[in-house]
Amino acid sequence: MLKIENFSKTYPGGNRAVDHLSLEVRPGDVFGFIGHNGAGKTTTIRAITGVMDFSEGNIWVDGESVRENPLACKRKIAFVPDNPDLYDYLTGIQYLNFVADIFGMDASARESQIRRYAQLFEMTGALGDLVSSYSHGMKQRLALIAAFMHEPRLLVFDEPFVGLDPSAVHTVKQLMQEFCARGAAVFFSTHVLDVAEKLCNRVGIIRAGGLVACGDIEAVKGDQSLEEVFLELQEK
Amino acid sequence: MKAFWVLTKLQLMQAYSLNPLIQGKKWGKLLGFGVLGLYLIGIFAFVVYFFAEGIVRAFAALGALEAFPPLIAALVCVSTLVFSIYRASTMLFSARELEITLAMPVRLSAIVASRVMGLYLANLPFALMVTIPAIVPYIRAAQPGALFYPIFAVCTLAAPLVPVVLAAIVGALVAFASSRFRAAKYINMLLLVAVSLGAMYFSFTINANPEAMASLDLGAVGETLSRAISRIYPLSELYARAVARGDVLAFLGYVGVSALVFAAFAFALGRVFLPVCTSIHSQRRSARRYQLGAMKRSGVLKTLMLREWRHLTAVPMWIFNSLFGLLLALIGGVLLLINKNAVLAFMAQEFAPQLGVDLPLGAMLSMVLSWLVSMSCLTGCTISLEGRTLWQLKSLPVSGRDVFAAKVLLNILLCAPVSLAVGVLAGVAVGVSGALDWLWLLLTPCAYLVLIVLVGLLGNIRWHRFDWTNETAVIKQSLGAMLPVLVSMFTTLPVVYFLAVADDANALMGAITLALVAIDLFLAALLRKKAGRWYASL
Repeated sequence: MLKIENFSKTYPGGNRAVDHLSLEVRPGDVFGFIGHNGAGKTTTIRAITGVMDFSEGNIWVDGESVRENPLACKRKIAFVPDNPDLYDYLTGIQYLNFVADIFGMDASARESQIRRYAQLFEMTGALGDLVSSYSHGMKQRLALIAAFMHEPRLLVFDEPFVGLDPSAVHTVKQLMQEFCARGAAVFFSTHVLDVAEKLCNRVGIIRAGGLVACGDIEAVKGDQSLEEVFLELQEK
Repeated sequence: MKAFWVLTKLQLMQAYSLNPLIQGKKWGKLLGFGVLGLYLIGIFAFVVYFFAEGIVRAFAALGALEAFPPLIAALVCVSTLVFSIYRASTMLFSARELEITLAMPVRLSAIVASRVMGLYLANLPFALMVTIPAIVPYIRAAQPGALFYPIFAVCTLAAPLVPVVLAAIVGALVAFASSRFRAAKYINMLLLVAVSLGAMYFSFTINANPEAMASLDLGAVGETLSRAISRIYPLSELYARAVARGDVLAFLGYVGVSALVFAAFAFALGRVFLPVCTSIHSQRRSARRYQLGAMKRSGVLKTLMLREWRHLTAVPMWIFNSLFGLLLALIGGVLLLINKNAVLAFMAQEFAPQLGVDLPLGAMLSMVLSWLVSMSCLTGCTISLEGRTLWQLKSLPVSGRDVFAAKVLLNILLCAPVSLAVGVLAGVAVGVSGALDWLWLLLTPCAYLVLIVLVGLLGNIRWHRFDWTNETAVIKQSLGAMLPVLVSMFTTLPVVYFLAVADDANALMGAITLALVAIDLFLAALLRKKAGRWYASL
């Protein structure tokens, strides 16, 4: 579903944020991408989702190259960043309709999907209000509704649980598993290692732009907890 | 005191956005900005000097030179007030780093004073840019004594104090209303338009009737104008006596009152700052729970244009700054129908005496309309205004071509019908009969509009800023926003000169129009070809 091959990114000024990163995410995987602050997680995610261009390496989403066919890739992806700056001047429902139009969802499908996910995330009553009036958690939930509603093949989240209350966190976890059971895949970064340990079947640990561990979670952590493995790898 | 200066310095760093360049040691860019800034200031100063020279001569001929300094002070105050209203609410009550600042062990009075001082210092450069070049012809004509210079210098520094206070009060009320009522953003826009038209009418009246300014009490201008000036700038008489006559008591009174009003405002604001901020930033959501209804599907281009439209209507300063020229064109067209002779006389006075040429009527109307319409550029800052939400567009399956096309088409669809309507109004009003004259009135302004829209977008793709914290800074102060204004000025007004010397105005207008259409097609093709690459690099 997602294949990253020798991806590298150097920012103007010489900062090499990611260095020859390669990993693979299969259909049905919930892949946890873990690393310390500034390790290169967000850079990688932005490259996958086409938000940032890159010139070294390649990234494929369901067989399509992000560099050569970015639109085809974006049609299969849903992306929620860690701090979703949404359009403050739109109402919640206007924002969802905007995203639905971009993905070409027909009227009846979008109505049922929005209804379903708005109910799941307890946002229905607030959809008529401007996004500018939402709290951070509400913006996060709106972004998640927009992500799930068009049935993407690959869900890419950057710290998806930050700012969510426990019921919303539970909903997100359930939906992730539901999507993966249908053949989609989830790729998300997180600092909450407990969640990664319980939710993910595969993990990748990045440090200073390079992957230091990657594979099935049981193979990566062995007899230790994920936290112990992570701290050990960071110290090396 | 230290906290006050540190916080004031932060305000200025935010207002002028130079710190990233300084910290990044981008000396080349800094030098470039410095040179460009000096160049633009030089042009602006020259224009101000040029107009001031004319007014000073008129006043001197009437033996009423003393009326000139308060006139300049009043104009500075009015323009400071107009341009500070929207800036004021953001600079004083901006939420962005307010919480962190309020949580620090710093007196609230220092925080408030620094914000008010920041607002004053942000306006001071404009006041200096107008006052200094304008006073030069006055000094040459009046030959004032040595006392004039220190008094003038201090009064110039004091002049923006009162309008800044007024702008802050109005800005706070507007911010409060906006946080409570969704329709308030439209009221904001109407308020800004009304104040700007009022200021223009005021300066038009003064310009058109310099003899009336001869009286120091402005009594000859008429009761209405007198009252208007006093209402806008009650200190004009004190200023006049201080600067023009060297009256020390009047000088102390002027500076003292200005400083007292400023200090009193800062003190009063400090008392109510927290409750005001809380009110402004606690946006209320609707009490009624939203009920999901039937939905419609739109195409990608239409939905992008709708999104752009909603963004535009949510930022009153964007509409005002970009479409004011169009509004003036509309007003001009209607006025032409109502009183053709007065408008034509005004246009002849504005363009013909200063340029020393006679202009063919049809071509003149076409170029004036082209100038006004080509000031209507929304695209000059549209990329920058995506700001921190750009990730949203870039992560969606939309092509750069569609994104850019939506921005261009919205601008054209908003402005072209108005341009055509004004062209028809103008043509009917002055009795244009030739087919070619109609062509210049209708096609040429539209061709200029398309040029400016494309130039604006191309410029903003090249020179964009996403690190802004205040939309006004992007809309009014960025290079991308200034480029279409400069292109508009340098491609319309000089044509007037060439029209005056051409043997055949129609042939020249034809050549200009054809050239515009060709350039428009070229730029559109360039944008279409490079859209993908440019969009990806944003």
